Formats: sequence, structure tokens, C-alpha cells
Amino acid sequence: MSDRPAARAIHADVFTDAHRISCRINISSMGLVALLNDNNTSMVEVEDAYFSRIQQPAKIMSHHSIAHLNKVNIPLMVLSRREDFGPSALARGGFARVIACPVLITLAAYEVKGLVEAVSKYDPSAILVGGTTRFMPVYNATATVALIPEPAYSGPVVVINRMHAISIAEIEEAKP
Amino acid sequence: MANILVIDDDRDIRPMMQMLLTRLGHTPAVAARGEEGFISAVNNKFDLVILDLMMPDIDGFEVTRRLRADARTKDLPILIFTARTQLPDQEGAMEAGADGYLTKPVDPRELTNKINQLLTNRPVRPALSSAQTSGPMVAATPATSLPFLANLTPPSATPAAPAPVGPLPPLTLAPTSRVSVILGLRGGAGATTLATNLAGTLSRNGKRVCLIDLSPVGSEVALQLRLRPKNTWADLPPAPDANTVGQMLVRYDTGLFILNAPTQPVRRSLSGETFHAILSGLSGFFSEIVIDGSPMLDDATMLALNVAKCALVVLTPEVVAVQMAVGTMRALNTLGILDTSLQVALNQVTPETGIPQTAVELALGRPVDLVIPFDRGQSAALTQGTPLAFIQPVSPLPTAIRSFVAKF
Repeated sequence: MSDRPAARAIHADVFTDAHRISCRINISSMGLVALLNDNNTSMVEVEDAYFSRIQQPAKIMSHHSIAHLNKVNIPLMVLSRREDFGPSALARGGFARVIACPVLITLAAYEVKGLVEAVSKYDPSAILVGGTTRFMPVYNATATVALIPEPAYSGPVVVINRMHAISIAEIEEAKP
Repeated sequence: MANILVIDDDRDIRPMMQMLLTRLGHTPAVAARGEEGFISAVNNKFDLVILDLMMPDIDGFEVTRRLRADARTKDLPILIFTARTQLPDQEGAMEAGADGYLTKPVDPRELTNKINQLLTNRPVRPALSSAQTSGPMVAATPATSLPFLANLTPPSATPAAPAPVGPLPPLTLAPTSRVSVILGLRGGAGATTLATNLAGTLSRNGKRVCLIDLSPVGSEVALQLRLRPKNTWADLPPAPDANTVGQMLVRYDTGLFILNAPTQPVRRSLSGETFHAILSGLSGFFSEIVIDGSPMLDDATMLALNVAKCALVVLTPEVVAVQMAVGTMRALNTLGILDTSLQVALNQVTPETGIPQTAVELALGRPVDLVIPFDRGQSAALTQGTPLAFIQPVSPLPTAIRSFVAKF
């Protein structure tokens, strides 16, 4: 558990390979990014967790007032507000000139399309394996379960566990 | 002032909603659990229920289903107000019977607008659904008790007159009646969606509307609106009188009637002479006749195009669809339907952007008259079996149609 005081609660949709967990997460003023990338904790405590199976995402199968998630095994999360992820300086890993690159990132069970922020130029290794943070944001993104392409889950931020990312490909802009 | 029930387990939301509703001049009541809310809704008289989806005992989907199944609350407007923002949740809620969907956090003005919309423009549940107790399809009954049929003579027991031989006489429609044809010769263009929403929009504007499905390859209108018609145009005699045609109509909504196509593909399209008689009969009773054209240029479709005040060719922004539209318009020209009497609708049926509008216009050699943006709500409308114009009148598709209708 983080010893930072909780500033507010946010709603998040956490997706594992088999389940969707709609829950509330208490975060500090540093945002969800600080909680997820805190190397001193392995678990995330969530409240009011509603579990659905991934093949029936709108059917609630179970409710628990408290649940604990193992951060290592969370492939991705969908947030409904960009600011929930955290202050932009922290989310980007510092102040720098950033460019937004449209990409497709594949995980074992998911495909995510959206914008990643890169410093100066698109650098796949810096995006996927550079630095020490485990979770990265993909903005204005859509996540699809590879084996069940419909429906897609979209949000202003999809948070990806980089340890689960298998490939990244830049999406070329359509030529006029 | 309306009585509004808020069912939400969030202890912060309930007082906020109470305050907001009181300020708006309504009388709010609250329930913290799904079961408690359901009992309160069936035992009291409410004008609207605002319902959360995620609740610990029974979730909002189940509460919605129970409210719809109970005779006391089957017509009660339900607005879902939830933190679940994903499309499957919205589709699931609409499928369960909700009338509106808003996600938290919400702008109070948006919430106010939605509440006012549901209170003043009560959502129309298909009139026939009350007879439905299970299964998604609506068993449609003939509109034999329509007021406009009351003054007509009962159907003759004698066989209908034989079909006229030779060229048809000129079709004269009542001056107060207008015919609109939606033509999409390529499947998937969204012509039926446009037809149902155009008919719905016109009926919401206070017109008496008849929607006719000419498709001989299965009634797409019936499929979209979840109707199971007992009678279709295939059951009509060759030259039916107005009364006989009236018996084949299904009443879908106040002011909206439907003449369905056969639910299974048939070998023959509706004949020109039968359709001639249908239009002659109906034009006296309906101010608007919307025709979902056949996927081929058969006699009935050509007759409709000849008398239409508005003939809309629908295409999607894809290469094949544009080529098809070019070919269709050339074929219509050779059959005497001039370009000037046609209008073109560019329908964005998927979120992916296709050929730019300018390129489509270049290929067609004419401007596009109506652009319909992609509308995510359409999938929920199809799931619910209701035109989007009824359940989300301010979403992009109905808005585009409303603007188009305003130019009529």
C-alpha cells in the first residue's frame, strides 16, 4: 500500500486476459501513474470492483467492495479522463519537446491503437523498453481483444503495461 | 414538475442529484440499492428513473430488465447514469430497455437537457411490444383499428379485381401527400437505416407517415425494428383498395405506419400495378410516404422514383459503392429519371474514414446533398430495435436527417 495520502478516487476499467474489472482507485495528487509505477508496491487496492468476463463485458458477474490487483499481471487499463493518469510532466517522464505518434501496440491478448508521446522523434525502443517505468499511457486510444474484436474499448487514455507489450508499429498517416 | 427516482449506491451522487432535481423544480426520491429502487419504482408513481449500473445487490441492467417486465413500469422512462463509459455497457443498457445513457462525470447542463428531453418527449416503446413477453421480436398485428380506416367500407369478400392489362394510368397522388424514396442498390449502404430514421423524424414532426419496404429479398425494415409482421405486401391482391392496404399496415408509433416486405426472400418483386394501387390508396391518408426502395430497379421502385418529391441515392465512401452509385445514376438516366430529380447521401457507416467527399463528388460529377456522419448510437438502436431518431434524437445521424428534412 502506498503511504501517500489519497487525493481523490478515479474510475478505471482494468482488463486482464480473461476479465474486465470496473473499479474505483484512490490516487494521490501525483495521479495513477505514480501508484502504478511505484516500485515499492506490487499490489493495487481497488474499491467497488465489478468483475465481468471478457467475452461478456457488460454482464456483471461479481461485486466486491475491496479487491487487490497484482500490478505485474495487469496488461492494460482504460481511463475515462486524461487527467486521471497524472500530471503531464510525470506522465511523460520529464519536460521535453514531445511529438504524438499514432501507433499500434500489440500485447498477448490485446491490440491498442492510439497516440504515444515520444521525445523529438519516434523511437520504438525508448517507448517500449527505455527507462524504468512499467506503465505507459496511450492517448485517445482504442483497445481490442485480439480474439474478440468486437467490441472495442476506447478512452482518452489507455494505460499499457510495457512488460506485456510485444510489438509496436507506427501507423502511417493517410496520404491525401 | 415531475417525480423522479434516483437509484444509485454512491453516497455522494444521491444528495447531488437531489439538489439538482430540486433546483429544476422536480420532486426527487432516492434509493441506495437496486432492489430497494425497483420496489420503490413499482409501488409509486414516477415520471422518470435515473439509474446507476454498478450497484452491489442487483445491477442496473437487471433493474432495467425488471422494470420493463413489470406492467406498472414498462413505459417508465429510464436514464442510465453511470461511470461505465464503454460501448458494450451502453448497448447492454439499451438492450435491457433503457431510454438514455449518460456517463459520470457529467456536465449538469447535459444532465438537465437529457432529463428534460425524456420528460417532455417520452420515449416511444414500439406500440406492439406490450404484447411481447419474451424474445426480441415483436409480433406485429395489422392496423385494422386505425382511425382513418373507420370511415371506409369493410373489405370486400369477393376476389379482388384482376390486374389491369397494358400500361398503367398516370398515378395521381393527393396534393397533400409527398413521396420520398431511399435507394441503396448496394447492401450495407444504410438505406434502410435512413428510411426508418427519416420516417421516424417526420412522424415526430407531427406528420402522418407510412413507411413502405419494397425489398423482395427479406424485410430489412422489419428486421431493424424487430417486427414480425403477419401481413406484408405479398399478401395483397393485384389491385387492392385502400381498405385492403390499410389492413396490411402495422402501426409502429403514433403517426407512423409500416407496410412490410415479406420476411423471407421471394421470387417476385411487388408488381407495378399493385404498387400503383397501394400509392393511390395511401396518399389520401398519409401526408408523407417514405419508401425503402428495392435493391433492384423493379417496376415498383421505378414507379416510386417517378412520383417522388425526394429520391435519395445512398452510398458509402468506398470505391465499389461509388462505382455502383455512378452506374445506378446512369441507369436511372436512361430510364428517364433525371439527375436533377435525384439527391445523393454519403453515409459514413463505419468509424474508418473512406474516400473523401470531394473525391466522391468528383466521381459522381455532382455535389453530395446529405452527409451522414458515423454514429456509434446506431448499434444500440439496432440492438433495441428502435430508430435512432427516437432514442437519441440529438446524436449525429438523426441530427443530419433533421437538417435534411428542414430543407424539404
